[in-house]
Amino acid sequence: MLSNKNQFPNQIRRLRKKHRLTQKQIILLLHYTDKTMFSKYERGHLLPPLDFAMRLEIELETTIAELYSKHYRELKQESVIRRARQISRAQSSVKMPALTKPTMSTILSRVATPTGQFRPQTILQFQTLQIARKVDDRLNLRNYLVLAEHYPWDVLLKSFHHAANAKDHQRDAFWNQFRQITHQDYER
Amino acid sequence: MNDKLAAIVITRHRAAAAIFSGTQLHYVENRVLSSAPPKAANTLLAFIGWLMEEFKMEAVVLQVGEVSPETHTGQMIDMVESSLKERSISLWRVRKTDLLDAYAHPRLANQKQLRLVATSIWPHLIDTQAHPLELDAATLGLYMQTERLLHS
Repeated sequence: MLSNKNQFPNQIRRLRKKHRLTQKQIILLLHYTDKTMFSKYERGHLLPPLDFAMRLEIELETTIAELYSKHYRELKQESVIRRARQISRAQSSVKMPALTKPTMSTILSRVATPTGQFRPQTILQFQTLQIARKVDDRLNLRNYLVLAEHYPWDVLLKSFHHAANAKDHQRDAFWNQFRQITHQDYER
Repeated sequence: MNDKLAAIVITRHRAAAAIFSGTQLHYVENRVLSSAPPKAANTLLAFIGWLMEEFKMEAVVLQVGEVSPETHTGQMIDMVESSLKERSISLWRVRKTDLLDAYAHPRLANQKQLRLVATSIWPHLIDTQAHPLELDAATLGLYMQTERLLHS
């Protein structure tokens, strides 16, 4: 079998030395007989079989991940990229609702559970709930949710920032600002 | 505002993190923690260090609950906070009760309901078989990112 030099860098030699063991001594401890193969594992020419790696883990009081830290990091990196892609693929495959403009009744039926509790189902709905909470107008939450369905998020955010600057009557400040922005849009 | 954020939830036997870019959930991950405190501390610090390096994080939010600082979990949260401060990373703390209050109206009664909300917002986390603690981290992250957005 062809093998590249130091293809699998590892800590076997360093830890063996730390435990003050010669190659001969560790081979005995591992119940192994082939000194040539051990040398190849230690120099990183070959990857040892699992059983051998586990024995090393026990004798050298370490973990396989630490023994082959570079290889482990590379595998971990690959896994991170794969998982991120998997999440991103899953996100893009989530079916989006039809792009027809919702009517008031469909919005209302979607946003309330039978017990009357509203639980957000999208990020936008969650953010809208936070705006209604912060301007202390949760009782009129439905109005905010309808706005969020019909107007760009920026309009709500701008109106909220304006309201947040007002010391009192933040709810009124929000709605005044919202009317002002949307009125300007109509005039254009 | 740097819009990247790591949301971290720590319990006695597990820690989970959700990485956000803006309000978009980018990645979730968790680690099992040993019942032996020194081993758990090592795993946790390595996990935090890895997250900070891998995702180049500059902001973190930690979930804190009714955990006493004397408990094992309380000590681990303190340890993580010190580690993040040493790295000059912006840090926020959010209480579990704030999340229950924020994710529904009227407020949610328990963590189980909060996880149900998380699966409605990110249905793909069911497909990827995310751990429940990763769902907690995701809800924590979205809450914090929205707070930052509304107060920017």
